[in-house]
Amino acid sequence: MSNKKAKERSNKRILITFILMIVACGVIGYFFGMITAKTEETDTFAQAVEVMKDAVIQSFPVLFMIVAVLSIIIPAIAYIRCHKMYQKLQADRDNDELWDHLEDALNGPLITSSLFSIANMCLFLCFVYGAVTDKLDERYGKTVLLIGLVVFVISTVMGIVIPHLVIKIEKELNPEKKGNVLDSKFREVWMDSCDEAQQLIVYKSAYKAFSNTNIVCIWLVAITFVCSMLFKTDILSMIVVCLVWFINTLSYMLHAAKLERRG
Amino acid sequence: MPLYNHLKEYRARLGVNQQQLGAMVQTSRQTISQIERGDYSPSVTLALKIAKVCDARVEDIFEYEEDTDNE
Repeated sequence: MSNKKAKERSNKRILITFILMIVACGVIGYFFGMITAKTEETDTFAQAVEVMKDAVIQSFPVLFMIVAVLSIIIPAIAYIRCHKMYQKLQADRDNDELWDHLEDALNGPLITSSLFSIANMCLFLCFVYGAVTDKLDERYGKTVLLIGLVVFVISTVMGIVIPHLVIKIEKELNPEKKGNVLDSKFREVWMDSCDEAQQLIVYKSAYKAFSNTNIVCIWLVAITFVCSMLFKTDILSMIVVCLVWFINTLSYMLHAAKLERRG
Repeated sequence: MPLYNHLKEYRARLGVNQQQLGAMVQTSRQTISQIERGDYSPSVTLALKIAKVCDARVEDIFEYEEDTDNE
């Protein structure tokens, strides 16, 4: 790859990151501004907490809609980009550089689709919680809830279709790869069809995920405990984090011990 | 990693692309690409398979050099 091309790509990446940061800062600023404006009129800390809780719950429908729409658009754009590269590769199968580039690019729709699916599910449940517990404003009536449900279904379907299409390209590129995303044993089948280098990548990534989850759990236990004291949130959140931490550590330790015994 | 290789030259001599070489040694194209780039050191089994297909010795394709940067 020429230096000019690499520089252009790097500049494009910096520009996209910059725009995303501005949008994220704008959204965060909007919600903090809204919360600050509402808490300004309160007298006690307890009142301020209630107002903050209310403001957060009121923001769930808007946040959910934004994330749901993005979860449909961004992975689709990333997939279309990959598909174009794949078609280009069909005409030039010996182009190793393009092949490597496509393999890298295929991570884009997979990562965005997975992350958006989680965020989508979380925000939709928060939205439903607000609606069911009557904590949402009256303007969020049944119609909005129904629209939210339709958007959620569409974004969930996209969260299944995009990985399915990516895996289809991956299997066409590497005929030795096996597995169907819709199959419950997909991960096992896929892993079995991976060779030694790819399995090593999975193992290294899994170890990194284990380490990061443990670090995040330490912080989350502290944060959820402080929140339960300060904002009177339920202690259940702290217990759930501890449970996740416990299961993460236990499954790692037990599996490592089993592998050591096997020698 | 102080492991260098001449796999790209040997593959060119065979006149096959990365996918074809991968199929010849029962591995993926990605792994061949990673080995050529020096991002992955193959197992002994895979190195032996590659050497056999290339009709060369393992040490002709893969070279180990002591890392002197840390001294």
